[in-house]
Amino acid sequence: MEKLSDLQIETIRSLVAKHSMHSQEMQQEIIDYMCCEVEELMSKHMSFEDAKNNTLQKVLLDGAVELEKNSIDILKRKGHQKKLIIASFVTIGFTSFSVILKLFHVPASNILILASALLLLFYLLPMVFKHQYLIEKYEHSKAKQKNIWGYIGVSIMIIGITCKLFHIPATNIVLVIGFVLLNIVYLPAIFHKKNMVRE
Amino acid sequence: MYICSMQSELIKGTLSVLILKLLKEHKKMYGYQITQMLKEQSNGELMVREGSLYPALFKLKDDELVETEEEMIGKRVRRYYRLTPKGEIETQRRITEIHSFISLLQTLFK
Repeated sequence: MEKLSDLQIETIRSLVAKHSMHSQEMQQEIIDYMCCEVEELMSKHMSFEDAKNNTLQKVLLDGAVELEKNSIDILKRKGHQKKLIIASFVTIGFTSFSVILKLFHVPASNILILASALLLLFYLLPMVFKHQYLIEKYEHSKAKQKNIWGYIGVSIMIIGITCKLFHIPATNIVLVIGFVLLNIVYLPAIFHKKNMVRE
Repeated sequence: MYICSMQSELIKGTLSVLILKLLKEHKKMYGYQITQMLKEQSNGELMVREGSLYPALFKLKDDELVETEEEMIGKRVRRYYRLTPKGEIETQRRITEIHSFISLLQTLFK
């Protein structure tokens, strides 16, 4: 089978580049796939131009949306996992350090506790639930709803615990709401799903 | 003819097993080769679209069942997929599972 020239490969590469694929890995795969398809058509006596247009229509115009939708989440999830591990170590380490200082009544530990709560609420928790959402996106239709309840429940708990540490009055009600959301809404949903998988 | 896109639920569940089986038989393969091999082995009945193939391959890689090896073909990169030791065990398990499922379906649809 006749191989494509460097110039012909470059033509296909620029066509793929125009469709701005999100990952380089996917872009390389599609270039090779299209080149193979063009070579196959050229071996059946089709001109390069016709083979290229035919493949372009089939792969990039008809199949691109499906390809992007199905592949990007997998690639995103992979990158997200590394970020999540780093974020967990940083946030949990910082929070533990702040709590120890608070227990020993070290001055300025209140500011660290507040910073830890903000880190947990706006950095780690959104990452955890986003990761969970990406994993369950195609497996569980109610995943999104369940994760939102989980995020709200844990957030209320963190706010409640922070307020409790600062001895703010009436924080017990916040903690109770957090407990209720976690124990009655979120946890049963997790255990129900795990049980279904086991069965 | 079955065109395998993500919409065809019947084939969706078995595509990864088909890929694993091919990789077991041929040691290493690239994307286009996999689609052509599936088409050839099914006598042209099964057309796997790239929109289904690459997500399945990425998922297998993500699960550490396959690993990749890059090769330059002229000015383009070709990525070969091969089974990892974990993938070889999993392939055997999934093939056995699919065989028993097929015989179950045959019993049910008699």
